[in-house]
Order: sequence, then structure tokens, then C-alpha cells
Amino acid sequence: MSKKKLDILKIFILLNSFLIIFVSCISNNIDNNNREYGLYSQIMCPVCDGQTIAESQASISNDMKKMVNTQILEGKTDKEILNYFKERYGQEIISNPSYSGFNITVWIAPILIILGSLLLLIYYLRKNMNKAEL
Amino acid sequence: MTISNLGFTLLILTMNLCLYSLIGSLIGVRISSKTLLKSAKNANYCTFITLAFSVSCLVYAFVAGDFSIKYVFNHSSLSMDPIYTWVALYAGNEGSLLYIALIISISSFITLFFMPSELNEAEPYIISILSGFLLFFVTVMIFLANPFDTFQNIPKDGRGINPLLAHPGMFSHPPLLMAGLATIIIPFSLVVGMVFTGKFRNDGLDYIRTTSLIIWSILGIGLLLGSWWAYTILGWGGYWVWDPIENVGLMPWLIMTAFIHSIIVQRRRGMFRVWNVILIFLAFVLAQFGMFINRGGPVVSVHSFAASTLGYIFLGFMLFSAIFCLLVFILYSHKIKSDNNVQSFLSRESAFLINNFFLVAITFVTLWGLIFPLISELFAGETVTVGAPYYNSVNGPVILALLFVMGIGPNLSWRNTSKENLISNLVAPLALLSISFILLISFSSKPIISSLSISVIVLVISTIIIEWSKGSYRITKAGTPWFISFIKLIANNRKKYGGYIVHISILLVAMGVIGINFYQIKVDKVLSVGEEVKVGRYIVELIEIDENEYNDRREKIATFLVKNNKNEEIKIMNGNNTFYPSFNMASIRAAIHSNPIEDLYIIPSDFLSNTDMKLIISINPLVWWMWLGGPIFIIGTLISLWPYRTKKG
Repeated sequence: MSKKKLDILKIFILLNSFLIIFVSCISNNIDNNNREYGLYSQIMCPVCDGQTIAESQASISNDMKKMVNTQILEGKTDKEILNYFKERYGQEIISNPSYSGFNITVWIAPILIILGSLLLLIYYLRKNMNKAEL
Repeated sequence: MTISNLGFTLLILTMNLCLYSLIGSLIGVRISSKTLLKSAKNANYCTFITLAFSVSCLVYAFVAGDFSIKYVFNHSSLSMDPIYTWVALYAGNEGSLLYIALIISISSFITLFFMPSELNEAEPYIISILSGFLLFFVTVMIFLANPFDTFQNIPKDGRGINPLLAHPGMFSHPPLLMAGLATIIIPFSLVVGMVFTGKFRNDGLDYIRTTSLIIWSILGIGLLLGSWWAYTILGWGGYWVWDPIENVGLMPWLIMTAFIHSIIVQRRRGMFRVWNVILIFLAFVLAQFGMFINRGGPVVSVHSFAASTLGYIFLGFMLFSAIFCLLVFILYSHKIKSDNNVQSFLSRESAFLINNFFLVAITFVTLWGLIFPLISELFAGETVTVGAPYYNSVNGPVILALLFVMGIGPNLSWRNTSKENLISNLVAPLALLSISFILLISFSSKPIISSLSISVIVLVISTIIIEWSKGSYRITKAGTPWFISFIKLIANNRKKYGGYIVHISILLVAMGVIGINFYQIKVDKVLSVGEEVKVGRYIVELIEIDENEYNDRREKIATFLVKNNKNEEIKIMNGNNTFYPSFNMASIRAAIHSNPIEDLYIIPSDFLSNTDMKLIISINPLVWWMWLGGPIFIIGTLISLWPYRTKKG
């Protein structure tokens, strides 16, 4: 094996060992992320500007957090809990538009537009590439 | 003469100087009078002096506590920490406009002073655009948002600075971000000037690149510092929550990122001219959009400091900018056609194009999420919130694709890449990508996207390291040691290798993002003094709760003792919860123990009694690297900008 190849191999091995250390560091963490947080961060604080109840310290947010906790203990599903808040405060209390009705466009439009324009770009490049070969 | 009169008079003087400079340079170019052009340029220089004095007046009023000025009354008080009086200047709408005006005039001064002779022909247009832009801000201040407005009866004490702004970040994040957004006018004016003279060619392109890079890095660092600030405080939801105001700062930066990449292609291959003009126009209009959203826009945001009733003025200015850009584009775009076309998909040009495409796509997704609540209200009559989950799930994959291109692009050659080159360049990085992906999938229970993201980061880093070692290897052949050859390699091609260093800094930020999004542990716990809780590798003990009373605030400080698994003490740290009665607002600062593997992050969320408190404790892996990204970003940009010794003659 030539010296150059050997050097590249060394770098390759070095990178790999870094990688393994890196992976072992982070995969050590056991996941005990709780359900509350997932829910808190999906519910907006009704009296704050742009905060979810997870961040907000307003008293109403603290009350709402308690309500979430109680409902979890009652054995309700995430969906039921979110619906509970939606019925009382309207759609805007949920940090994400729902996947139904008009709101679905928020998800679909960007994906369609990105894919569509990517196709257009490729088409345009192809057309001009043929010109360049003339 | 009072200080407020002096400051306001200086503003009026500035307005006249701007008017003179704007009209003078336009007439000067019409009648080709060199004296008039020179004098118009000097008038623009003078705005720097008048504004510097005007700003000094306001800073002086703050530091001296001159509450006869309404703005000083509204944003400072005798009891606030005096250090913040020096920066309270930009704590609200009027003062931040004044700050922005000063930045525009300083940057115009520097730009005109160092202007290379290739741009002489375009200079009058550049001056008139810069003066016109400054004129807008100064006029708004004079007629609608006067920072020197006074009271008839002088109050004894002011209301104080917004508690959310009393943070060390106040010294860096707002001024850098505002400066970065305002100075997009510089490359914009240079490009428009060159387009007007029909010469958007290689002359002067280096100057555009230099100014854009400087502005882009200021904006980038401003954003990162904002992230750091938000990270240390509860209430902002972490380092980045896609808040509307965060988004309007990010979007121009993304477009500028596209611009500084695609301008390389124009420089190198005479391509993408029209596209570059579109990009810089877009960046400029988006920056004006940001002004509008920030100062009275229709969407709610956690950043409400600069909110004003002037939204419609900034909306008007944004529309004006957009129409101006459109007109310039329609009238002049035929003059700036490109010399070449992309010849192959497997070329550096096409990699740059795809990079641009993804950057614009991310911008679009962000903009769409930002304005969707308005669209929904208009068409469906329903108020909705578009929060972080939308942005994360739609932008996430696009960002990942962008990072992937970052890893592949440097392996492609200009024009076309031969098969042999392609294989020999890509085999090692792609192999590493696959190995890491397989390793991660088998060792970690996390979603596949997290493993994929880490593998893509491995791909990009390995591409860069392989490129570096190949380059250094060539130099070592002459007998130079590895380390010196590496320095030589970078020094000999600063633009390229400086760019790679910036890429590494972006990867470091990405690592932090991945760590916190996919590997975070979070627990909620009520602790009494003396009790301890085990989180991850740490044991946290609450040792003390203290309370301090100040004139303007009540501070509760919790002290924690952090131990490792073996019960050895690591650190004692504090978190505090400060309540400001006059604002009815609390500011909660986290206690953070940071190391390269992970952050132990403790939020003292609620003090229940003198001995009990509620804590939110999280382990945030790899965040340390995100902040390391900042200095590396600056180093990379500096290397990339460092001028070569000019060989003239």
C-alpha cells in the first residue's frame, strides 16, 4: 500500500474512533422524557405573547399545567387532553395547526412547492445543459 | 440649550445632509459635475458625525438620568443596574431607530471610504441609495418617533428598563442583529449601483463579497448570541423556538448565506448574475419585512420591546423597497445575462445551485409558517398558532439535505467531475456516513432522523478533514512538517479554507441542535433544602434558598451542589428568579453546568416556600459545541476575509 493511501487509512481510523466515542457518549443517556413536557409545549399560554405554558410563568399557565397533570393521572390520552383545551380556548391555544380542514395547507403547501420547484429547476438545468453542448 | 434640543437639532441636520446627498448625487451624475458629486459624498460622510453626536446626547441623557426626555423616562430608572443605562439606548422603538441610523451612516462611511476605483461609475447611485435609506429612518424619527421628545413636568424617576432586557446579552445580541439587518443596504446598494451602470461583472465583485461576508457574519453572530441568551433564561423556550421575530432575523441571514455562495460562482464562471441580483433584493426586502414585523407587525412574539404604532410606515417602506427592486429588475435584468450555463449535475456549480435552492426553501418554509396565521384568518376565519413543531418537522429535513450538499459539494469539480475523481473523492466520506449510520441505528433507540443527522455531520466533517489532509500531504512532500503544511495550506487559499472553517462552525451548531432535540432528558421535581435528586450522571442537592430585596426587584436565589455518580463534588451553582413589581414580570435564570458532553441545566421555576422549590432539571447533550461554533465562525470568516498582499504593477 502506498504511503498516501496509508495516511488516508490512518485518518479514516482516527475519524472512526472519534465517532465511536461520540456515539457511546450520547447513547448512554436513558430516555425518561416525560409526557407532561410534550403536552406543555403543545399548549400556548393564553395571556402571553408567543409562549407555550412550558415556558410561561403566568399563573394561568401554572393552573393549566396542573390540569394537564390531573388529566394524565385520570388516564386520558394526549389527544383527549389537547381537545379539552381546544374546546375551551379555540384552535389557537394549540401550538400547531391541526392536520384537517384548511389548516392542512400549512403542511402540504411548502412540501408541494419545494418538490415542484426542485423538478422545475432540474428541468431548466437539463434544457440549458443541452444548449451548452452545442 | 438642553441636551434633548441638541440631539433633535442634530437629527434635523442629518435629515438635510441626507436630502442634499441624495439629490446632489443624482443631479451630479445627470450634469456630470465632479464637484457636486464630491460634495454629495462629503454630505453623506457628515451624517456620521451628526448622528454620532446625536447618539452621544441620548446616551448621555440615559447615564445622567435626564428624565425630562420621555424615552429616557420609559426605559431607565434610578434604581436599575446602572451598567444597563449605557445600552438602554436601543431598548425601545425610538432609540433603536437612532442606533440603526448611526449604524447605517458608519457603514456608509466605511463603504464609501474604501470603495475600489472599479466602482467609481456606480458611486453616485450607491451614495444616493445609502442616503435615501438613511433619510427614511431619520425622517421617521423626526416626525413620528422622536427619541428626544420631552415632558413639560420633569418626573423624578423613570419606569426602568424592561426586565427581560437586563441580561449581559443586551450588550451584544441586539446591537449586532440590528446592525446586521440594517447594513444589508450596503451590498444591496453596491449591486443596484452596478446594475444601473450595466456593469454587474467581475469588477467590484470582490468588494461586494467582502462587505456581504462582514454583514453576514455580524448577523450570524447576532443570531447565535440571541440563541445563547434565550438558552440561559426561562421564558424563551430554549435556544431557538421559531418565534416570529427570531424568524425575521433568520430569513435575511439565510438568503445572504445563499448570496455569498452563489457570488463565488459568478466570480469564477460568470454565471448566476440574474440570480444573485434576485437574492440580494430578496435579502433586502426581507430585512425591511423584519423591521415591519418587529415594530408593529400583525403577529405576536415574545420580542415585544420595539413594538410601536408605526407598523404601517414600515409596511409601506417594505412595499416601496419591493416595488423599487421589481422595477430595477424589470428595466435592467436584460443587461446582466450570464456568460455560461451549468454543464453537468455533477459540478461544483450545480452543488452551489442546489445549496441556494435549499436555503431559499428553508426561508420559504419559515416565511410561510410566519404568515400562515394571517392567511388562515383571512380565508378560513380561524385563528391558529404555528409553533415550533411545524418548523422543526418541515424545515428539519430540508436543513438535513442542505448539510448533505455541504458534504458532497466540495468533492465536485468545476464544470464537470470525472467518474474516477467522483469515486475516489466520495468513497471514504460515504463509507463513514454508512458506518456511523449503522452504528447509531444499532446503539441508539432514538428516531432514525437523529441517527441520519449525525451521520450527515460525519460525512461533512470527514470531507473537510480528508480535503485538508490531502492538501497538507502535498505540501509535506517538500519536507515540511504536517502542522506547518496545514497552516500553509490554509494561508495559501484563505477564501476556500476559511469557508471550510465556517462550515465546521455550522456543524458544531448542528451538533448542539441534534443533542438538545433528540437526546435531552428533562425532569420536574419539588425539592426541599437538603434534599437531592439524581438526574443522568449527576446528583443535584438544593443547599440554600436566599432572598435579596432591591429597589426595583426581589431576587430569590437557589444554590445547588452538584455531585457526580461517585458522590464527588463537581460544582456549586446558582439559579435565580427575579421579580420586578413595577413590570409585574419575573425573569428566571437557569443554573448551567456545561461541558463538552452535556449541560446540566436547572431552572428554579417556582419558589414554593422558604425551604421548598420546584425545579425543572434537564440534561442537554452537546450544547457546549454550539457555543464553540461562535468563535470558530468568526475565525473562519476572518481567515476568509483576510486580504492578500496586493501585487500591483
